[in-house]
Amino acid sequence: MGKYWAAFSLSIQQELYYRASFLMERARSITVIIAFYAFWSAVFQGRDTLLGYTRSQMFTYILGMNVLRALVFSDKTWELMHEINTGKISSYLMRPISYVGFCLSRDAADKATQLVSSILEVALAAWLLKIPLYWPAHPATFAVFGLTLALAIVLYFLMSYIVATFAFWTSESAGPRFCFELFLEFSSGAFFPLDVLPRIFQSVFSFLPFASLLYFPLNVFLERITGPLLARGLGVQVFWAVLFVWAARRLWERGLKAYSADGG
Amino acid sequence: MKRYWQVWKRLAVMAFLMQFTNRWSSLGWLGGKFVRLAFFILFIVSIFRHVPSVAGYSLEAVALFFLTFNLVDIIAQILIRGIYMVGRDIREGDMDFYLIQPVNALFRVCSNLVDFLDFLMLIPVVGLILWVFPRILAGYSGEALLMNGLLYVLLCANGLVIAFSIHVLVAALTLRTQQMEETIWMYRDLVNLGRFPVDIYTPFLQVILTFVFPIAVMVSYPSKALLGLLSPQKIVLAFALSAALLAVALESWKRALKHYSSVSS
Amino acid sequence: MRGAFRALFKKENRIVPAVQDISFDIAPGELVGFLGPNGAGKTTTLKVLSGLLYPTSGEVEILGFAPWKREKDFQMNFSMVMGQRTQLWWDLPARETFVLNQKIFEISDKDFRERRARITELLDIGDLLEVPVKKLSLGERMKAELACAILHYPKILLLDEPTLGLDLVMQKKLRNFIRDYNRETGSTILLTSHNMADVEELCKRVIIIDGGRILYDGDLSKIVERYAPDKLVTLTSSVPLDIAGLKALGKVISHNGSSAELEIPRKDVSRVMGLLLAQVPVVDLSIEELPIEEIIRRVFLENG
Repeated sequence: MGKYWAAFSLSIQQELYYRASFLMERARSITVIIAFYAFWSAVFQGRDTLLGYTRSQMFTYILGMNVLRALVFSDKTWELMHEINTGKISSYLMRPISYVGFCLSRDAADKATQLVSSILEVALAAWLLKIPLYWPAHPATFAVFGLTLALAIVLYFLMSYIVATFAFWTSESAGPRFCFELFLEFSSGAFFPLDVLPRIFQSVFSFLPFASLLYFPLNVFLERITGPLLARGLGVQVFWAVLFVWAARRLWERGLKAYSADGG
Repeated sequence: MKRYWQVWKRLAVMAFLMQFTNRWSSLGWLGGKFVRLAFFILFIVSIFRHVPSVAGYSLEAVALFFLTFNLVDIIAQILIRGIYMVGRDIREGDMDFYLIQPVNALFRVCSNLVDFLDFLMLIPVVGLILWVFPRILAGYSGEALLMNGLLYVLLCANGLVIAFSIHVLVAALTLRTQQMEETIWMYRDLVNLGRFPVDIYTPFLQVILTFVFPIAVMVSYPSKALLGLLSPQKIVLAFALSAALLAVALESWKRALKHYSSVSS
Repeated sequence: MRGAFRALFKKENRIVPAVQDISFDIAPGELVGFLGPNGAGKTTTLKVLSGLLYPTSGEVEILGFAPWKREKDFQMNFSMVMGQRTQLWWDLPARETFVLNQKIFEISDKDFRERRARITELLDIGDLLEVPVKKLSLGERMKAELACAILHYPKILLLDEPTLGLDLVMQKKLRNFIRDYNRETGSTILLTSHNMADVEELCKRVIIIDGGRILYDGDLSKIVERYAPDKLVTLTSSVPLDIAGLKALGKVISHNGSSAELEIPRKDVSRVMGLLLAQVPVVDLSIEELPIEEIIRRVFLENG
């Protein structure tokens, strides 16, 4: 366990040293909140509810977007893909530390730093601008939220790693990865709640694993999804998680084989 | 000058050739950009099914703001994308070659990375703008049409000058300190604040976006002018700002070059 | 961890003078060599000559221009090859960058075709031009780089360590090409190297720099005369040598049973040869200049 903690701690140091990518990620998230907070404030002029959200719920969603992006969507798979493409992965595969474990520690470090920063940003914004926030009325909500959040993290992790395996077969995986990430951001509700879009989009994204990443957990927190819908959502998350575990395993095995066959 | 046009064309072709050797990756990038554009348009159209106006603007107006933002941003990228790599150019010694060759080094730096995909992205953006124009301009007198239309084009060009100046300033700082590159990427995020009409932002933020990082002037003013919402003072401000910014930027670049001691050896 | 936090906020700088006192004049068509150890100031001097560096004091004039002004008319006639760095685009074949230079230097299509053909033939790089530059070996890349650098037939050509990292065959090819180019076009060429062979073969005049100062500026042959009053005699005999006896004739550098190396003053060479041949049953004998490295070393020792 000690060596994973070392990897984690080392990764945190690297995070702060490579402040460039850290700052970039934060800057991006912050400008997204600013833009959308302003937008929704303008939209909510003279009304109390829209699309089934109260003011406080909508603003909590916007700020929550920032936090959940930091927690769910952050990982170091870009680095992983780079390591595969440049062959650096070989040196890791040879060490007495499980590569997956190493990646997990590295991702955890990324999430930790982004999360802390995100919570600070959001708290500051809420305080400065006196943003009305929504807190769950039932204590049980927190627990269920936590569960959906954990599943969301696992889901994104799996999806991200599956896409990362493309690097085993092609050196041109950066573009498709970018497309995947962007599509995911929109379809998971990381820019705006999916309720805005026509019903059909909502339905499709809810059945596919996309909405489960952000929209679903956030709406559980906002207590807008309860009872049978909640159960269904959890079911979708679990279903895709299981499927992706299987797919990820297979792809990684195949990928590593192809990689070693190439002479590593 | 004809020579510069020839060199620019050649650089664009070479950049395209490089993209072509990685065409699957390039398709991915294009796909991502397209997804982003499509979703935002979908968002804007969908929102207006639930509300009649946003910050007092109609669907067409908000669409115009968004599309103009894209127009100015994309054209700016076509012309100056190379500046994003100025740090690398310096580190790897390419800057030295630019400086000893008889082509303006700044021009060379800007033109090194012409992205063919940007040209492709322009197609839907321009197409949609042309679709929106008649809907906005319906009911304008011939004179107002001409005036506002002209202002629109001029202010878009003005926005390009501002974008150029900001990039040159950051490039000059990078040249001096070899450390400022992150700021140019943060510019990309700041510009994104111009996706929606700047009226949605608090007055304080609007001031910042007009005088400190003139994003508002860059991407919102052209649309406002077309909608007839821009006062003459603001128009003068827009041009004065860009002229001042350009002068400062070019001077900074000149000075940074003088103090440049080529790093790699 | 604390170090990492500090790095978030501070970075450091230092200033070091590279060149203290360098003056020289070079006539058109000369092929001059700059010699000196690493850090001597050779590259800095070249950078000042190319206009890359702005001299803090003093004057530089090339073809009537001040290089740091970077005027078009100067740069159109100037070119520089910088060691292993390349202006060729990495992912594309070299010929693509050639066309770029054609546009930059306004070379007409006709001239471009002719020169390209001629240079390609001289350097023997025909096939190499079609291959992405990243796939070329170092030697091939240097040839392509050199070709690209002279497409516009520059009147002034600066070469910074052009043979660095190349094998002997490639070095010779490059040197021949540089010599031919100098002769055919009458261009002025400055060459820095710490490969003595480059300078020996190409340059009549050599400037030796160390510690940012000029130690010597003149004919290479005169250096030999002044700093190498001795010649190197290598002999092999059919019987083991009498070292004491040899020592009487001259300075013994090394010996090994029946062979030895001696340093003998030039003026004494004929006399000593006579004595040697009389005393020793010589099987093999050679008389050479001291190796150039040794000569340069003596220059440094005396002046450094």
